[in-house]
Formats: sequence, C-alpha cells, structure tokens
Amino acid sequence: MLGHCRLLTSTLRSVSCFAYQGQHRKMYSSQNLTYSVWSKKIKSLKETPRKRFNTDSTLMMAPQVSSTSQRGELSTEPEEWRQPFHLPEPELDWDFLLNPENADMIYKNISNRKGIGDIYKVLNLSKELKKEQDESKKESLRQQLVSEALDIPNFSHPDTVIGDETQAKVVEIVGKMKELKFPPRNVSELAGRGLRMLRDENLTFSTGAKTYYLEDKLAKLERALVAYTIDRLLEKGFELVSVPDLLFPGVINSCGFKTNSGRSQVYQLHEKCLQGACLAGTAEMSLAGYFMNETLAMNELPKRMMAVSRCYRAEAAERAIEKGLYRVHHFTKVEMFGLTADEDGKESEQLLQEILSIEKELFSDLGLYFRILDMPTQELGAPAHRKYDIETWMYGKKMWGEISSCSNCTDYQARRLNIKYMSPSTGHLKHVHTVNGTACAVPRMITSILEQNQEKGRKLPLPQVLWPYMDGEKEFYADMKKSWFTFIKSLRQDA
Amino acid sequence: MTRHQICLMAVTATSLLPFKCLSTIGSTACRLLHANTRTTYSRFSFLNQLKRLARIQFAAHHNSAEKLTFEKQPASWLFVNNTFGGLYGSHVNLELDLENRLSADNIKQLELILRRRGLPADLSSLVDDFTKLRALERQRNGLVSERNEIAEKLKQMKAEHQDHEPGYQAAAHELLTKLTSIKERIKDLQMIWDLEEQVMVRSLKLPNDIHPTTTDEESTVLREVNNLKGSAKTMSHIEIGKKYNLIKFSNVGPKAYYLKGALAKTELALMTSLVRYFQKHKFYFISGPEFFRTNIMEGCGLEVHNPTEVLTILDNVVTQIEPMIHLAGISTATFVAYVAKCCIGDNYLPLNMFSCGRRYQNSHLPGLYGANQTTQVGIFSCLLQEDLDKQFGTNIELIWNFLAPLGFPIRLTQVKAADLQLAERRRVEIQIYAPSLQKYIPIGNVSDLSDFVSRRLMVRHNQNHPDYRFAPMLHMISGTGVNVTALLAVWMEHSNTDLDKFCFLPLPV
Repeated sequence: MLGHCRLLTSTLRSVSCFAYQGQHRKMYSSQNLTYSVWSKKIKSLKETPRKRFNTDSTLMMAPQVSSTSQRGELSTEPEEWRQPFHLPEPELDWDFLLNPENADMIYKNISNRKGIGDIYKVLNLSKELKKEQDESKKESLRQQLVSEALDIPNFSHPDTVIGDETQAKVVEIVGKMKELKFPPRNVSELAGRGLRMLRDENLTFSTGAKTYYLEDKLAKLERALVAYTIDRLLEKGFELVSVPDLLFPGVINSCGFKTNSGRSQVYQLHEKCLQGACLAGTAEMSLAGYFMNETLAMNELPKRMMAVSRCYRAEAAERAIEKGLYRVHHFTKVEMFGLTADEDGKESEQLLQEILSIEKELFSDLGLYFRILDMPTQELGAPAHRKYDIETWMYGKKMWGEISSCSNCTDYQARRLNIKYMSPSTGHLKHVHTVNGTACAVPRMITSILEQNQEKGRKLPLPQVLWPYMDGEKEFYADMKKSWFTFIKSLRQDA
Repeated sequence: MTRHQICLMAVTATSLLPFKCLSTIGSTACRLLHANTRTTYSRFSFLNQLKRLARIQFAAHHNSAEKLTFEKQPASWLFVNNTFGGLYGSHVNLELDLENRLSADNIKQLELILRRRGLPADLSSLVDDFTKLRALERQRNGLVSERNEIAEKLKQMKAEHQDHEPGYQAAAHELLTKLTSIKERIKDLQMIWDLEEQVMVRSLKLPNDIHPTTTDEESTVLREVNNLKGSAKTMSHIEIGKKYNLIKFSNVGPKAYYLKGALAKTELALMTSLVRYFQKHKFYFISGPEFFRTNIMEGCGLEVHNPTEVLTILDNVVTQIEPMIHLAGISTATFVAYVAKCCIGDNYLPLNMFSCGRRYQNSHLPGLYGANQTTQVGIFSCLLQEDLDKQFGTNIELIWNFLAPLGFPIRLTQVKAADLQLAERRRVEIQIYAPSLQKYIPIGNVSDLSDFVSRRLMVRHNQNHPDYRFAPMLHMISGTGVNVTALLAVWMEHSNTDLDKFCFLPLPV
C-alpha cells in the first residue's frame, strides 16, 4: 500500500495529504525527515490551484450532448452530464515513494506480488525531473513519473503469506463434503442436458464463446439469489444503489484494473461509440466512481453500499476445466462496497472481517460446503492490501472453485479517485479506506448449488432459504422433455 | 486427392506464407473440399488450423496492440464474399426472396415502400445487376451441366473402349479439349462472386414490407386514457431526483446515473413484478448475454457500421478479422441470437419469451428518458404467419393491461411508415405522458417483423421436416414490454403533486 504522502515537487503540482496508518506509518514517518525541504514546498502548493496532470482520453472526456439538447433543450439535461469528465490528480505518497531509503522495501513488496511496477525507474525519473530545465521536457518527464508511480502496487498485509496461489492459507472450512454414491455431474450436464434450463452450446455464431442463456426456472433462480442476498444485506445496514455499467477508462484504471494493457480483462467500446466507454467488470468500479471527488463526514463512516450489476469480463484464458458456466464473459453480481475512516488504522480491517463474516453467513445458509482462504501476495492484484477468497467444492469439476472474494484496498483507490473524509483527530482531510466483497456472483452460485445438491434421480432440491423467492418451489425436476428446437449445423450447398 | 491430403497441404502451405496469401489458399482448399465432399467446409477441423495460422500471420503483419475497427470489416457478415472470407465462409443461407421482390410485377411496390419509409427509392441498378447475376448463374449452371456430361461421357468411353481401338483416342482428345475449354470458361465466370456480393449486400438493406394499417402522414392514436393531472406544478424527474436524494447524476460514464434509496428498491420491485406478470401469462423466461455478433445485428436489420445505431466493442484479444461484438442488452437481438439457425418444433408454437435486464443505446431524449443504460423487459414471439395478427394484438394488450392500471395518462399509437425500422412491418407503441416534457413518450412497444429476420438467420419451424435447412420460415413479433427506467421517471413526475414532499403513487393491487 502506497499510501504515505505529502508532497510532490513544484513541477508535479499535486498535493497529497496522506498519513499512513498503523505499523507502516510509524515505520515510515521517521524516514520522511530527509524530505523536509519538499514538505515546505507543499505548504505553498496547498494554496496553488490544482492543475490537471494529464489530459489524455483516459482522464478527460468531453460531455456527450444529445441531439435533442443540441436543438435547444440543454437545460433539461442534468448539469453533471454537461461537465466533461476529469480524473482527479492521484494523491500518492510522494514523500515515501521518492525516499531512496524506502526503495528496497518497496522493491521487495513488488517482487513478492507479481512484479509489476518499477520503483527504481520512479526514482530515476524523479532525479531527471529535478535536473531538467526545459519546461516541455519537464512536463513529459512528470507524466512519465506519475504513470510509473501509479503502477506501484499497494503494500501487503504483514500476515499475508508470500507466494503464489498454491501458498494460500486455509482459514476455515465450512460444511461437510457429501459422499455421493453416483458419478457426480457438472452444471452443464445437470442444468443443460438434464433440466434443459441452461444453454451454453451452439452460441458461437450469435453471441460468441463463453456466453450462455439461463432459462425458465434457472433464470428465476438467478433473480431469487439476487433478491435473497439483497434482503440479507439490507438487514445488515447496506444501502442499495443501482449503478452505471458504462464507465470511462480513467475510473477503472484508478480502481486498479488496467484498461489499456495488451490482454486487458476490460471490454471497451469503439471510440465512436459513447466516447469509448468501458464496460465495468464489477460494481466495485461503479461504486468507487460514485464517491469520486467526494468528502464524507466522519459520522457517515463506515459507509456500507451494495449494488446489483451486470459484469462484463474479456476473460481470455482458455482452460478446459473452466469451460461451461465457470469462466464467462457476462454475469450478474451483488457487490458489497465499504468506506472507512483511517483513524486508528484498524477500521478497514474490521470492515473486511465484517464483510467476510457476511459472506460466510450467506453461503452457510445456502447449505454450501466451502473454504475460506487468506490469499498470498501474488494473488492480491495491484490494489488489495489483504484479500480473502471463498471457494466451494464443485463436484462435477472435482475442484475448489472461487465463488467470492473480499479485499481491503486501504487508501489505494481513494488516493486515485480523491475520496476523503474530515478527520476529527487532526482536523484535516484524509483519504478514506475502501473495502469490497462479492455477496453473490450468480453463475458460480448456481454451479455450486446445483452441483452440491445433486441427487441420483431426477430431483434437485433447492436450499430452503430460497423457497420464498422461488414462489414456494422447493426443487427442480428433470422431466426429460425433448428440446423444442434443433440447431441447424450445416448449410445448403445450392446457395 | 483425399480430404486429409488437402488439409495437410493447406495447413503446411499456410504456415510458410505471408498473410496475404492465406485468403487465396484458404479459398482454394475450401473449394476443393467443397467439391469433393459436398459438405460445408466450415465444419472441418482443418479450418480451425487455418484460422489459427491466419491469426498468427495476421498478428505478425500488424501491430498486435492495434485494435480492429469498422474499416477492416467486410460489407456484411451475412453474405461473405469468397474472395474475402474464403477462410471463414458464410454461416447462413440467405433467402431474401429476391426473385419475387425484384420481379417486374413487384418492383413498383417495393419502390413505393422505400419512398414511404423515406429511403432512396431507385432500384434500377439493383434490378439490372440482379438480372445480370441470374443470367450469369444460368450460364454457369449450363456450363457445369455440360462439363458433367462430358466427364460422364469420358468415363463411359473409358469403360467401354480400349485405348488402342481406332478412333477412341481422337474422340477422347476432342472431349478432353472441350472439357478444358469449359473449365476455363467456368473459371472466367468467377466474377460472378463480386457481382453476387454487390447484389446481396444491397438487398440485405431492403426493408420489410409495410403493414396495410400503417399510415404515411401522422402516427395514429389507437386508444387513449386521458387523465392528465398535476402537470402545472410538476418538476422534472431530474429535479425531483436531486431534491429528494433519489438520483445521483454523474460524468464517470456516458450519461451515468445512480438510483438510490427508495428508487433503487422500486426498480427492483418493478422488475420482480414484471417477471411474475409475464410468467403468469405463460411467457418463457430467458436471461442471456448483452452483446451479440455482427451476424445477429445485421439479421435484425441494423446498420452495424453506424455507431449511433449500434454500439461496437473493441476486441483487444482477437487479431483475426471476424464478426465484431456489439453491445445492446435486452432487445430483439437477445431473442434472435437465441433462435438463430434453429428449427423450432410446431408443438411449441407460438413460442412466447421474455427477458429482463440492462439495455444500452443512444437516445435523444433528456434525463432518464434518454439514458444510455436503461432497465427493460423485452418480449418476443415466434409463430406461424397465420397467428401473427392475433398474437400481435395479444402482446399489445398484455403490456397495456400492466401499464394502464397505474393510472397515468396513457395511449396506444401506431407509428407512421417513416418511423419504422428496417425490420419492422408495423409498430405500436404504448406511451405515457411525461409532464416535464409535455409530451407522450414510449414505455413499451410491439413490432411485427414477419419473416424478415428468419430469412436472414435461418429461423425455421417443423422439427419433423426431413431437412431442417429447407423447413418453412418462422414469423416474429418483438418488443419492449416495459422500459422500467423511463417508467420510474414518469412515475416520479406524476407522483410529485406536493412540492414539499415526495412519495411514490402506490402500485395498484
């Protein structure tokens, strides 16, 4: 986690007011002394109006004006839609980042994660920038410096195990594995060829690979799962928000998801379509965007939000075991998102544990057999400080499959999206911490429920907590009906 | 030459050659296979090998980071010219009924349809090209028959005569010379491909017929429940949304908005209510993807190269030229993608379906009425031609009976010819009065597509047909059951009779 801040140089013209929490802060604050000169400059910068550091397309978007508006109805459109989109300046902890004494520690953190980011390049660029006299070159160097610094990942939690996914620490196993006295079937066999409620074949021509249709009662189960989750989360004090699925790339990049890498997971529209907006891969992006440039009052924190959204992921990986409903391009998800203060450094960790316990409760009540993993450093991505995954045993695939995760991103996202609160202890603005968690990723929940509840006969019982949401339906029944259509595979040769 | 040998030769050759040569080799190999096996070449695994190699070659000759754009796309993915898409081939048999529509008897009628829709109505060049194409096709067919006859004769001669018999060699030589000449002439007729592409691409843009009830001048109001109220005091939903903290408008995305608190819950409640309503009326519930291949959008009569009409996703992984992906959400495409290239059993007709979720589109209306992202329920019926009118009426009544009891000023309007989309034969809209705009806006609609889409995407019926590829075409009715987002907006405006507080008008029991 890169949150420690104070400055920048006068050329950077960006102000940050980071104060890192807990152990790290104590450890780093003493090392920041060598930057006293820079700290002085901050004071003057605080009075300087902010200047955009970058105006490329990912950071700034012209307003979209409808044709009606152009005909004179501009005033009828919301004011916000007429404002061009500007990404706020990232308020990184430059004091900490540019202190050569911290370089080895930052390098080690990067190496322990996936090795993305180069602290030495950041330091070199910083030196070059200080020496450079030519204003135009300075600007170019400044942009490079910011870009490189943004690639530096968050710091890992001290308890996080170093290593790849095989090093994940099993925190808890919930439920009991069933001993099936028949060969277990996977979700495609159960719901597709058995119940005839899932179509995941012969769609390449029309919707492409890794797409699917849920039908009839399975489509209803999708809605039931969402409704069940929302009801539970409303009880827990989460606020429901309906979110946009189309976001400008800057918002997504600021959440720690790359939109411009060669094999990005993020779908993007053609530049001529809705200004080249991206399709959100999770409501976490939209909810983080909701608070962009917001300053919250202390009494609003912690803030618990949830959203039901469609998630779109490019998912280039092609592993045979992940075929079917496991790794798909589109799905419905209920996402939890929280903001906390950073007064004692423990607030976001507490919210993470709270979200984890909610997930555990939701899945336990569905009767699922699952395990909770404390994920190692290489599985954290760029933004997470700590991350838990929940995996269910998928009988058909004979593997543990991820159904949910929750992460504490500390101030990684808040620094990039300018989300702050007024700290009562210091009387100054501080960055909030963000925490997110998956409450219900529908396709994987369906897979888990169907594969774990399968029986030898044609019946497939549903979890009792879902009965009210299924209008009293307690089980699925495969009536071995004939498919109502036949796919025409070959063409006529006379054409 | 066996099929295996052809595959092997093609795959080996393509791995050694630059991308430009691939198309030719692919086309040749495909045609060889096509002739040898009488089976669609797209089914063979060797084609996948070719595709893979083409992808590698393509990536090597282009910057892999470069993203494919409209400009690199063929004119159509429903009709693929062999010279362009030999590697990939066509995926559908088009049956556009051109013999009938472009015939001398019907051409005036078709031109009238174009004029009524406000489209360019001069079809003379298309008719000329079509006539020329048919003549060339006849010529080619004649030559092919002649070639087959000669080949058969040669075969017979070889079986009946010995090489040393007097006169045999001279006769055989004469036939062989003739055969070579015919083959050359057939080869010369390959220009037929380009002409065929010109004709087919233009023909794909011909609109559906117009239903006799559709007028030219003004849209017709078929029914109206006029209970306008409270329009003088009403604020717009934008003001209400902000004042009562129900909507947050934002610029984090194109026309982005967040529904909050009671409004977000009402949106979900309405969706649940609509799902129950359509299930109660025996509509089959499906939930599918929001993006579709170019084939499907073209089959729905949409102009895929027009970014205002169709939203296109950049594909930053695939580096070969193949159909694009388009974002649409709940729309006709949702259902058409499901039934494309399917033969549906007669026992299951009429097949009524619905789906609910996000819809993504451009719109010129202000506020939530014209948001790029809305929540909608889409409905769709596949049926026989004789049931079309009855089901069309049923679907309209179904939507009307859900919306009318809400108590807002509502009307049923049949849109005029110039407002019809290419695939539509007629469209009826269920409109509700929006006080802030002081006009009616469509909340639901029902469109009669007849067999327009089926002819493009091979949607057929009768599972007992000996060959599904020749089974009769299905007819379709599509529509928006309810645009939930727009409904919420008018609901807010009609509920706001007291400017000091806001509460939703209660849902009717």
